Amino acid sequence: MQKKTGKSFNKLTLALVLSTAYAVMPGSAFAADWRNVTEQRLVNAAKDPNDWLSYGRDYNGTRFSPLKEINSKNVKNLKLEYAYSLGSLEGQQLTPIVNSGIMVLSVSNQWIEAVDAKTGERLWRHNLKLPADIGQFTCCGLINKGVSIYEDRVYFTTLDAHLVALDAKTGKVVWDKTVADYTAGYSMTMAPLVAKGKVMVGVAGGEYGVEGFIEAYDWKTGESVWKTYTVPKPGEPGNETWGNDSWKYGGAAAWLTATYDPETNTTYWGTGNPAPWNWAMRPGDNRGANSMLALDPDTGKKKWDFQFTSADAFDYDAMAEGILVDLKRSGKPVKALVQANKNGYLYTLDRTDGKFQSALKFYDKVNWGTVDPVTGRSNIDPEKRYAPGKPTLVCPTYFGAKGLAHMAVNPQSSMAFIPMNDLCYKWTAEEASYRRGVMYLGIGGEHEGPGKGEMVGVDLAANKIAWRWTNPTPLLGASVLSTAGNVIFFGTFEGKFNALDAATGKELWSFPASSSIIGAPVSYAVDGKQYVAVVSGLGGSFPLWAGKAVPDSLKKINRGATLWVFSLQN
Amino acid sequence: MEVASEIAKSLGAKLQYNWFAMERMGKVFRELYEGRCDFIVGIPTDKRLDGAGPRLALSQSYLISGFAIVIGKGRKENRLEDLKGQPIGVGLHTVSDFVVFDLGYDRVLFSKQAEVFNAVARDEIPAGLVWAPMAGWLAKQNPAAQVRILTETRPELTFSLAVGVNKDDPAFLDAVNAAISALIQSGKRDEILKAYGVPTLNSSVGAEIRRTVRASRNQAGAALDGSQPSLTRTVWRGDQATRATIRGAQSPFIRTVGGVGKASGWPPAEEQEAQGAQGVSEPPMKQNAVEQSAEKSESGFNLYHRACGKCHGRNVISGGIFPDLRNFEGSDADFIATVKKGRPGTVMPAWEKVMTEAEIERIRAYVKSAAAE
Ligand code: HEC
Repeated sequence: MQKKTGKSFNKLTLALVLSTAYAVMPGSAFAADWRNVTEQRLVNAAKDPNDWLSYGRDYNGTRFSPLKEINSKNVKNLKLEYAYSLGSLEGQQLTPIVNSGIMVLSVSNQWIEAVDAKTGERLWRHNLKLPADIGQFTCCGLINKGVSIYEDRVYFTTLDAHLVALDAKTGKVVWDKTVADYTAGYSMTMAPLVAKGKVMVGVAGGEYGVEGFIEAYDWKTGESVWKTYTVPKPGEPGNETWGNDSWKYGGAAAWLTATYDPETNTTYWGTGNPAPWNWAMRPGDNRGANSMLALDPDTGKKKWDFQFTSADAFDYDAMAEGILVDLKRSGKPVKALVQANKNGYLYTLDRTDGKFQSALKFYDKVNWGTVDPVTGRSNIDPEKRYAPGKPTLVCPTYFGAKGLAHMAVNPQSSMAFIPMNDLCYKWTAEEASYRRGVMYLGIGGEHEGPGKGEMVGVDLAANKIAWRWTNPTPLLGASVLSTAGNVIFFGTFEGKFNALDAATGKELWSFPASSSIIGAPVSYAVDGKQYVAVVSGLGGSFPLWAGKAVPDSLKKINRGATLWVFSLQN
Repeated sequence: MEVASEIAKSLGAKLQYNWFAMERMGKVFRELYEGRCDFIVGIPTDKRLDGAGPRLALSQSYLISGFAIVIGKGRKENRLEDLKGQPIGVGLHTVSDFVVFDLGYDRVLFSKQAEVFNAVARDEIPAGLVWAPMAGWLAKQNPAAQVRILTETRPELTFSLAVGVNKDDPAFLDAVNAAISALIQSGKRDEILKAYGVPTLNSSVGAEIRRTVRASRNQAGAALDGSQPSLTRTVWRGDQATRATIRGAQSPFIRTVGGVGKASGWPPAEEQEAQGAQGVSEPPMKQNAVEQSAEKSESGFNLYHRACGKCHGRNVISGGIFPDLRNFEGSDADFIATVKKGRPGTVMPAWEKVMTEAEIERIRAYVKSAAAE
């Protein structure tokens, strides 16, 4: 595509020459050397502590770094190694990727940068060109969640629903595919899942009444290999759960990165809300929406699905990561998939067959209904179903008890760390008609703000809450990094970058960044030294959507994207 | 309507009227408060409506109305309870819809009241709930259908209708009350009702309305098969092929009550500051008035929240990132020009290809009303 081919070749070459010059300077990593990201390295990522090769660090999506140079005893000595201005005023929701000393960042959906992870020198930059009318079609600013890497390629998605492959050494476009038509409300913000030579993506657009789907592209050529719709079509089981022909524009967008289990050859996709938000428009359970879909990466065939919130009325997407972790529950081994759902429950499923294991309420104020302890089926309290003339106050809000920020798991201690939002919403029913490229919601109302946040430590083996740590604002953007050093890291809307003791939830260290943090921290090592990095930059859905619930303190925070890199200094 | 004109007559006034859609209640109340209109006919005096109009005083009730049970030809049922287990037609999103759902009956959804009636008349469903004045009129028009309209109905389905006047004018309220008394005593009211075939409904209105909640779902075995869990079964019927009609379904019969149809719901006036198109000023009982209302334009409130709220904030309260439109300093023309053309070089989109000028004007009006709050 013409519009997105980016910088001219000349400039890229120039940038590369400069960076090579830096690279020969003493003490600097040999940054220009891209180490090939083989399937082997990705599958074994959990065992290789130095890199952060994929979105959730490993295919399990744990966001767990085995590094422990930085630990609960010495984290108080953590100091800023460098800060690097990324030059954007947009919200920064990304997870940086690190491959042998090279960090690749998608700076909102504006440009992709490769920098020397040790020094913050830029290696290359690829500028995106988005269509001028993109604002009409996106929900939450020019956000992007990050890139993915495979072999010598960098993959990313765009708000106008393209999937692009760059040459990891130069930042030059290799191919650029249109995944869907953005003028119908399709958009993409996720980092693709790349495995078995396939680049797998889902689309966003559940607020626009799109048809959710997941598609796999050949990593080399960009040819489409398979495409699976999330909502059952007529004739497929579950189509009957979409009354009023609502399956046609039913949303159920799988808009975040999937996890992947090579052992069972299965990818796990969380799907989003059914469209429109107003439940009365789509009588039935709406199977496929708010679900975990287990797909075969070779064919896209569905192995099983599990629906978290049936007949949803509150935008309780289940798009969140299903983290794969092996647990021991009452002495029995469980090949588990855990998801902290927007609806306030932490679910454990058996990832081999989708069987429900348990649901743990991590948000006390949940009032929308209950989860059957045996089947896992949700039951929405009919009194909470808003209708014309019947507003209802429901906790949690549509942002979710856990929003799009990612939790992390420590597989060694079987702990999960859930960034939680304590915020409720008063729903009113409104008219909704589908109109192409305009939001399709059918609701009104307002938050019962201002709300607060909690980091919740969960003992997954015992299926119990271990501790809670409170924050003055919701932790909607506070993706968590868990480390073998018994420390977890996350940032807040206040711009605090915090370290807590993973076992007790005690605050050990905090750094004031220059803007809100809604990006995900990562940890990596170069030349044997551990770093912790995070990108700050206010934006995303909360300050745009939350209206009354946005605290005044937050309105005083300036925008501006910065990469912060920390290390121990004695 | 006739009721209104009788009241006006006995007040010695000439009647001027405007029909408003239910969603435009905010606008209606404003008309009243700002003195452009003297009274509103057809306001349900229901507890469920508290807060709808703080500055509103209600007259005595002039009519009990609500949803009548329409029973198909040759059927024996005499009460809603007799229909348990059989599909009951209701208008989507109407009170009847919710009541039937809550009571655990099987529903068949229609987008328009007349469709419910027609389905019963054509024997496609055994029974349906239809807004009584509408049911009566349709039955009168279609004697061949031989449907029965039950006068006995459930309390949840009835409303006692009154006239709303400005609270600040107690003398006027007295006059309206007197006019209603005269209307009822003289037999004029019943004459009017008869002329239109409007049934009077019996139930213990005024008694506390119990919300009967259906039994919780049977959960066993309902896990992964995606099957419809509830005890009730819902079928959608009617002209559902196009998405647009679903919108029309929200409040199809609202103008049939006589001025203001609030019966299908009563969103708090504050949240319903929908501006713009006044309804059709046609007699309420004409079916085409209903048809027309189904095509009715989308409110400024909705348009704003679908197109603008994601950046400028829910209920026009900015979260601080993009301009708070309540503080917009230019003229209406400036506002509309900005929205049409966008702000090139920023993410503020150009909307002229997406919306009509009339729609942008309605957004402007809504934004102003939000700013005034
Ligand atoms: C994608 C985000 C986005 C959407 C959607 C959006 N706007 Fe804007 N709007 C902006 C931004 C950003 C500005 C400020 C532009 C600038 O810097 O001049 C703005 C400015 C405006 C202004 C001028 C404000 C002033 O004080 O100068 C008006 C009026 C406006 N928008 C109305 C609307 C309306 C009405 C809609 C819906 C039909 C809408 N906007 C949708 C982002 C958006």
